[in-house]
Amino acid sequence: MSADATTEAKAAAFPDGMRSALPEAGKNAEPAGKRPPADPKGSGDAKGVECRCAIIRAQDFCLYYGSKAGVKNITMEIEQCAVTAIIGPSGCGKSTFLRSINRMNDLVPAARATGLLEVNGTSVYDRRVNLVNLRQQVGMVFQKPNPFPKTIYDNIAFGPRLRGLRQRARLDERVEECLRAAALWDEVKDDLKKSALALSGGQQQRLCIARALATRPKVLLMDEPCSALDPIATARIEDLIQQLKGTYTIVIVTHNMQQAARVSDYTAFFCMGDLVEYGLTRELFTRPQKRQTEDYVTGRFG
Amino acid sequence: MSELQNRLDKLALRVDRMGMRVEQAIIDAIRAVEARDVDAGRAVRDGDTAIDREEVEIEQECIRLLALYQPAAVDLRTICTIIKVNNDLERIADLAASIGKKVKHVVNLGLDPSRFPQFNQLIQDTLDVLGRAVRMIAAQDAETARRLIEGDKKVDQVYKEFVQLVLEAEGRRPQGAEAALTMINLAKALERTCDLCTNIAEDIVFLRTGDIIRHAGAFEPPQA
Repeated sequence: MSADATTEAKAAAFPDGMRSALPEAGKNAEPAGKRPPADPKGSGDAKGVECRCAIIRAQDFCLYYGSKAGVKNITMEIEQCAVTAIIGPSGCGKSTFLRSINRMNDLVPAARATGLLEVNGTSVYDRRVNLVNLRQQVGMVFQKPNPFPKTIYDNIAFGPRLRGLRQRARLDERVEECLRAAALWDEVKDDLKKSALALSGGQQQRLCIARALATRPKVLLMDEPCSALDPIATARIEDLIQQLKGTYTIVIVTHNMQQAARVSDYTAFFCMGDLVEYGLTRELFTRPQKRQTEDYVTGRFG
Repeated sequence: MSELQNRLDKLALRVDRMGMRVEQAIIDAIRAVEARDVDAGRAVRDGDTAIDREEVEIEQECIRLLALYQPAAVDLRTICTIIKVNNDLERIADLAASIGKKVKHVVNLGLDPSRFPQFNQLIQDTLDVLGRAVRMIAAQDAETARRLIEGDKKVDQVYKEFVQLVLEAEGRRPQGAEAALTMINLAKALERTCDLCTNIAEDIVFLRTGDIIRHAGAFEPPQA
């Protein structure tokens, strides 16, 4: 194995890469599939998700902005290789929770987390977690496409290079693989050296997805990934989500309830920082268990 | 109140009225048979066109609401239920028209189905079940609906007894086949009306609970 590949393989050994400085973190590594069925609400009165294999686990997780709680006592498990949508009114904490999963909230000066939030058995809020590794393993796609002001090729190659991959042939391979996975290859294969900023909004967003895939993450977080796109570009991203879900765990925050209903397997409804209801999407949108959820999905909220 | 809510309320009211019209059609058809009034029978048949038109308009409004609002949860269940109940009511109205059409044969063949107590029983049961089903559309009570579904087995039994008796009585008479067929068809229309009322009750249970109870126990319900 070349030096390049060895370096990368080491970094890719998530959660071990992330955990390398955490000898005791393994105590949480009980196989998720053997756990008893989850009661994501904790209170036992909302229909839960029986995760066969949970990759993300929150237990009484809170995130405060100063003294104000962004999310409170969130207890839920997120199924591996499935799409989980988080819905709720503005300010309900859905983006806060999503951004907690790869610690994007660390950028907010007064943000403080309590409780447990694990990805693949490792507590992401452990001080010894390597943030670069964490974010390579838990990729993120934002509301507005934000490609680097570089070429299409360099956008995709950025992450793998950061992880030590230098061999040109292997980088070429990775760039093609990710652009294909993001359903963008056929449109850009002849323009790899052109600026990513020359692409359309929808193409830029797919490029951002491809860029996130380039570090071979386990989880993809999407924060309203289609809100800046037209209906056709939106449909392409939705199709892409369906193609990716067999390989990646996708957590998507969306204001568009029809989108949540279309693309996700599970849906969590947040309101004022609380997880109100969490269950199978097909159930939550046809017969929600909680009045609050019913009011929200039928537009009676307010 | 949201625009969708407004339109759903209006739609529910229309279905409610449609139920009353259909109930009246069945009452009129049965009265026409009992009174051997061919004109009254024809009037029921002619009235069916207006019900058909109303059914189509209600369905169009349902489709419009689905397309414009992409409703969820109880709103989605309401529209699905209205589409089905609307269709069941229209089929009951068709049965009323079919009974109305047969009054002519009853008169021409000199039939008197009411000499069989089972026929009178069927009439009574049909009026009772239909009345309850129509009231249920407005009340949307799942418990009443479940009780109505239970009662349907009794109607089936009375119908079977009636068929048996008619075949025995008419089987040996000349032109008995035509007489038996007319009377059995009349009874069949009543029995089918009760069946459709059962469907309506099942739809009301779905509306209230989200459970599809049709064919309960016959197979494992498929995942949505």
